[in-house]
Amino acid sequence: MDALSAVLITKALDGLAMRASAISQNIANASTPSYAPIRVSFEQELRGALPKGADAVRLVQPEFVRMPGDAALRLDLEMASASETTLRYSALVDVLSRQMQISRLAVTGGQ
Amino acid sequence: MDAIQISRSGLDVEWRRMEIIAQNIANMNTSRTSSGGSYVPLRVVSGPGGSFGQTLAAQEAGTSMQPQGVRIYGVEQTDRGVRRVHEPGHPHADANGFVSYPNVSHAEEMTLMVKTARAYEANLVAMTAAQQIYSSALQIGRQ
Repeated sequence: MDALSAVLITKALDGLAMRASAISQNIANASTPSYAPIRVSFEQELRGALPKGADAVRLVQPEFVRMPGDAALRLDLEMASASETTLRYSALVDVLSRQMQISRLAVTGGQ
Repeated sequence: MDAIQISRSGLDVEWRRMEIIAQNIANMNTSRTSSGGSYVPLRVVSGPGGSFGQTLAAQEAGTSMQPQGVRIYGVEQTDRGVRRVHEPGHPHADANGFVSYPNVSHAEEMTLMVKTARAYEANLVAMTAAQQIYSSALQIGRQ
């Protein structure tokens, strides 16, 4: 397993877990009047850091950002994001497991 | 706060809101309470958790904002006046034969009830999603 993709996947997992928190927060505040939803975006930063190597990727910090203006909360879209986040998280865990499997295969010499 | 705790706070708030709605509907014909007047419809006022001070401190320190769930700010009385009905024989009737009932809006309570039930479900779904994320995290490194 190359170092870069391991770092990249764990960073993406961190970001997705934070996004799940943000979605929970938005849904919990569905009944709050004039509530500004919060978002987590890290993909763009991650893509920017990717060519600079593993250290740059390690420095990427996903953050909670409050949506400015009158971006109203749509409960249905939040639910869609919730299931998308879950699926992407499991997909990344799967990729990570496969990479680990390859390493394990190399360590055991295919025994 | 992690996602499951946030959803839990949402479930709690929506549950309390539902209780207050039930209380309003149950008392829509209560013309006398222990305080003397007719029942006053109540409303749950809720909003994001965490105090103003915490938010300000985080802003000043330049740290990232953290979601704090939702909490109940208070249960407030609504100012809707009373519904006066002419019932001269009623024990609570005034000198002119009018009884003051609380002005509970049936339609409003029902609409809020449906909305609250939906919000409760949404919190439950978000909680399930978070649980799935945690359980898939447990799969990391498994054969």
